[in-house]
Amino acid sequence: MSQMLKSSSALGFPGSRRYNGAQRKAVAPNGDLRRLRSLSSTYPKPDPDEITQDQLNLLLDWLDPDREKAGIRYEQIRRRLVKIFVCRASNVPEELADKTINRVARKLPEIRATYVGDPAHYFAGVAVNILRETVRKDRIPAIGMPESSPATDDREKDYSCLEKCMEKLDPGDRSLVLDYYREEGQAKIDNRRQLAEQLGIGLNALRIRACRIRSDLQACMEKCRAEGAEFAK
Amino acid sequence: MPEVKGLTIMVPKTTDAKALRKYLLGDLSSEGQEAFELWLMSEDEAYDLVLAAEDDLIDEFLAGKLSPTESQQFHDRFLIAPERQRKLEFSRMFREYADRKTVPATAALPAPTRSFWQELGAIFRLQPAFGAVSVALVLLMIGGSVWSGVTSSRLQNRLDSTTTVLHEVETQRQDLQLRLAEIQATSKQLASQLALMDEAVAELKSAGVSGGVIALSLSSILPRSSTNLPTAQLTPATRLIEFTLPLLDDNYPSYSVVLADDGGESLGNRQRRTAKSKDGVKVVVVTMPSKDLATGEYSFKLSGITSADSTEDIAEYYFRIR
Repeated sequence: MSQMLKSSSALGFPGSRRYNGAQRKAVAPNGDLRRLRSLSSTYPKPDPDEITQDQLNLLLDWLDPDREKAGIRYEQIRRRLVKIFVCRASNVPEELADKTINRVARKLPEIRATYVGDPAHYFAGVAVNILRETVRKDRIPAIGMPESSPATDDREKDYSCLEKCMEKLDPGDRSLVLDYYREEGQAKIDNRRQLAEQLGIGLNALRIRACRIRSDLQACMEKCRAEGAEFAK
Repeated sequence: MPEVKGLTIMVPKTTDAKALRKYLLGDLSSEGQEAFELWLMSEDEAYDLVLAAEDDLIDEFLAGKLSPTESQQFHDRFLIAPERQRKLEFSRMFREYADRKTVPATAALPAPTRSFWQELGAIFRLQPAFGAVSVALVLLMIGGSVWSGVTSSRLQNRLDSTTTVLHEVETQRQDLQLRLAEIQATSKQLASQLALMDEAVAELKSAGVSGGVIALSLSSILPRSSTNLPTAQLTPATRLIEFTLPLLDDNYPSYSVVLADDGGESLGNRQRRTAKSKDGVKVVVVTMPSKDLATGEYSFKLSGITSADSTEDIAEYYFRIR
């Protein structure tokens, strides 16, 4: 029996923090969505788009016959869709990503038999359509530049957090991230080329590695900031 | 290539940093954006590269490297997403931190060159596993060198010892050769003397001068003090004296005879003499030139030479020359 999911987010689970700062009311996920829901922070909100459990199952099967792999693929696609909407300057990128996924899920019975190729491309096409529909509707004015730094006390705390987070890094990663962001201009380019040679990897692989370390550092620092002084001790 | 109801979607196979930057700043055409998004959806590393490009763009903004147009696009479009605002905030702090931790570069200076040890240090820091393996290898090499050194030292000692032994053997061999050469020289000299004497005897015999040879039979029984010592009366014609030394027993393969004056000083010798039978008695015959014997008392000391080449004294024979 199909179970109707009362959620605005795609398949009832993907929605997360809204860009205007509002949070959605959580709705308990059902069945195999519970595990997928744990992969992303979930703040569902009511949405006219509704899909059934059967539609969800069909979508996951389409992504991969193996349910575990399908879940991972689902998250990859959603993350990329969110990025696309962010790059298109949407102020509700996650909402639009969920809307895209819901629309694909509903459309799937029609196209599945004839569609050839990577399902991710189909999501991209639908995303473009949704963008066109929502253009100007959800845009927010350009924000003011966060020019000013936080108050001195907060700044000191943040700096202390950053130092703690740097210390938590693997020594190799710590060294890499500092070396990667050294120098300016041509010296920086030469420096990165030299680093990539030392590590025996390509420049793109080095960029990705440095970016991930930096991203981990940012997450650690934000967590530290949220937890307050206790963390920094 | 994906198709939807006859629609073929072109997916760019690669993208470059410039295109990424334009995409992030919203500076691509609508078609360019869509093509870019297909790439973003399908390539494994595309998502990570976009994140890295965002970091780079933020860093350029903080370094004041963006053009006025780019800065405007950065404000108006790029920074709309709160996650990017947080990134910017973090990047500003991280940049400050990194500047404190590293030596600032001077733009006028050429690209930094690092010494071998700095390069090595960087590799160890960046690849701890490589560092551990390298350290293990170095330790192994040191261990191997020490082991090799000890083994080499032992072998050298053994070689030195063997060389010393060889040197000693060589020295002994040279001594023996020297002695052999001396013996051979002596032997040649004696053979030469004997040959001369034999020639003289032959000469005398052929000349029919029987008076030139005096035969003197000696006795070992008579002591030196005996008044009846055998005496050879030399004449001017006497050239040789043939001494007959009788043996009690012929127990030796050969004999040696040493001539001594009355003071016991050796005047000459005859080696390897064999016993002969003379009138049923075993005797050793020794012939001496008369010119070698002046008037006086002499003696022959007879020794037997064993098969082992050792000598054993047998008897002494005393005589006089007049």
